[in-house]
Amino acid sequence: MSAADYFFYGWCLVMVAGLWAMAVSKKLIHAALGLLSCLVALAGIYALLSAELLAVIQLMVYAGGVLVLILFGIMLTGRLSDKPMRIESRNVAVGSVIAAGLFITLIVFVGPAFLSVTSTGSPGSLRTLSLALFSEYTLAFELAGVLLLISLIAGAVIASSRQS
Amino acid sequence: MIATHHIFILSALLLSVGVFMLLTKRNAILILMGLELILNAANLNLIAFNQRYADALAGEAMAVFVIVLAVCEAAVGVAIILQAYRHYATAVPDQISELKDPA
Repeated sequence: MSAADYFFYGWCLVMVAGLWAMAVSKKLIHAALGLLSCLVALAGIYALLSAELLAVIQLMVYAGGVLVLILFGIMLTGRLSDKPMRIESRNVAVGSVIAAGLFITLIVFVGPAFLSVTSTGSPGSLRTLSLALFSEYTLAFELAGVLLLISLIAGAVIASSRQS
Repeated sequence: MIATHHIFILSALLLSVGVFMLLTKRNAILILMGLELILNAANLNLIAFNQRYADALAGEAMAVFVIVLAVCEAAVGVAIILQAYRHYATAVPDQISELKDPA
């Protein structure tokens, strides 16, 4: 095992702990912290896969942006009449069976196709990805920016409109 | 290098936990978090399988667009949850069962 392998399994442990916290915790804030550890672990794995730009985007956009949005959502909706809300679950048995079935199906039937695949790591991927984003994928990139602007304006309008 | 099938197992776990949260949680914010997990599982696969092809970057470019869409979804989703909370005074989707004013 190389050093990259040790780091990879370390990030795996962090992510599994975060997933566990999200799946079983009774408090919204604990679930949000679990999501944070998942996102940071994913950024670490992206960096190990030599996708540095994706790792930085993951940290800035997900851990910095989406998670803060979700925290705002938690703080604005989390309590009802000064009583902290506890998360309830329903259909836990059915949900566990479906999720476990999905996981086992993926591992047993789809997973063996990737047993022979090993990652090579693409050198200098930051430069090539940036060039690709601004040459081959320029239209899609600009359209994604426009979509982001539209949805942020829409979010602000929806959140701020009050009925009279 | 990291074995790709280990990454595949990890992303299958992310997807399964996301589906579990979608199915079982009675809170709109947690359902939104489950959606984010599912999108992240797809992203992890896109990036991991892109490593096979050192000169093609379609997977990583796609992952950038998936992240942009996830941000859009989170922004509009949190706004809708806030507005529904103001209107119905609950963030439990089961209790929001009608579109008109609650009686």
